[in-house]
Amino acid sequence: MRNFYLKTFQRDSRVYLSRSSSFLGPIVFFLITITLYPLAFGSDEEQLAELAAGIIWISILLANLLSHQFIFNEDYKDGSLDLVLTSGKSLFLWASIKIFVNWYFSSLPLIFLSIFTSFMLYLPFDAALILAITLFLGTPILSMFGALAGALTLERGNIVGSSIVIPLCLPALILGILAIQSYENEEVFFYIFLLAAFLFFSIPILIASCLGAIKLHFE
Amino acid sequence: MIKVENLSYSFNDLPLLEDLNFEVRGSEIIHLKGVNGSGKSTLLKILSGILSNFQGKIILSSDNVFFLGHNLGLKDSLSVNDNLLLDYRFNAEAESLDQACNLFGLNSLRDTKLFSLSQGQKKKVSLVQFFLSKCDLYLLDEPFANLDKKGIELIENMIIERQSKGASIIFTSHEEHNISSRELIL
Repeated sequence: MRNFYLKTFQRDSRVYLSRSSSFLGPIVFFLITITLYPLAFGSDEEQLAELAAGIIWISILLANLLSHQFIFNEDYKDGSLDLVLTSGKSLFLWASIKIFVNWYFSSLPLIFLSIFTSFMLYLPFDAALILAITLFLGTPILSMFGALAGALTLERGNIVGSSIVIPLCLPALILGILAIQSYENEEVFFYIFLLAAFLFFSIPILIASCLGAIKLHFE
Repeated sequence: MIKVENLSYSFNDLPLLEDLNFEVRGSEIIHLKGVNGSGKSTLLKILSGILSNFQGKIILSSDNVFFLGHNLGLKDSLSVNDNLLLDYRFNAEAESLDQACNLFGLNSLRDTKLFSLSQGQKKKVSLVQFFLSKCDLYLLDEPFANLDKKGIELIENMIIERQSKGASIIFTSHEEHNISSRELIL
């Protein structure tokens, strides 16, 4: 049984590594977007520091959209999903592993990059720490919503999926930005707690929803 | 043992399978026949558990099923070796992997990524998976498609060998194959 999940993890990781566009695409997109904001708004330190939280979170959300199509779509098209359905193994664990691998290759590099780029946007060090915490809690939520959109739109492609993901991710985005903006107050803990609770409750609900959405394509 | 009772399946409100009844006892080779769109692939997907919203009853004595569909379940961006080593249905040891790849003439292509292989070569990779797996029931959708004469003979022999070891095999094909113990026409 362990073999199935371990091989799913290894296979997906190899696929991501062998197809550089799946993890380099979001990184390049994120870096370009972050660089464009100071060019558009000017180099006023105070203004950029004020906007930094929103700029980084929005850029990460948009960069994430590029990778969601890889979670289930390819497995559906190449027949791997058929084989998983015949395996009799827990689809919940299988989907969790697939979403984790997507997060690991698409979001984790962006979290580390965002810490460096936050200094480019004059975000204070304490706020950058809060940014990292909110991204660690928030990006798995983005990945799970992305997976859900991907599962709903297996045959339709990325644009329909993106239009579903963005509104669903707004609560995580708003909580993340509010936490960073209130990094000097005690309210920061309240927003981080809400984001953590959002993540905690999202895991079973969104992964189960992904499986429900996938099964719709096999009726 | 497989027992199918009053099986019906509709796709987009169009009836595809209607009141189908059949039984497979012990190890048999069943050749599933029918015109295009008659529901051969759908029946295999129902038996394998991929499609579940059917009416009727299906009894399978084992859930150890090998399914080979039109889409082969292989990753184009991975090499032949990676596709075989990371298949969860078997643990390929180096020796058996060498033997299987040699049998299908894939030894020189083991480090080649699948996107650069022909359809026939990809089919052979999936047939190596068939060769390496040990299941009680094999559901093979067009296993002979895209294969040369030598490949077809190999698969026929493999099917007979699996049957002799106690497995049941149901395959679809538009050509005649004199390996089946009986035919099922949809």
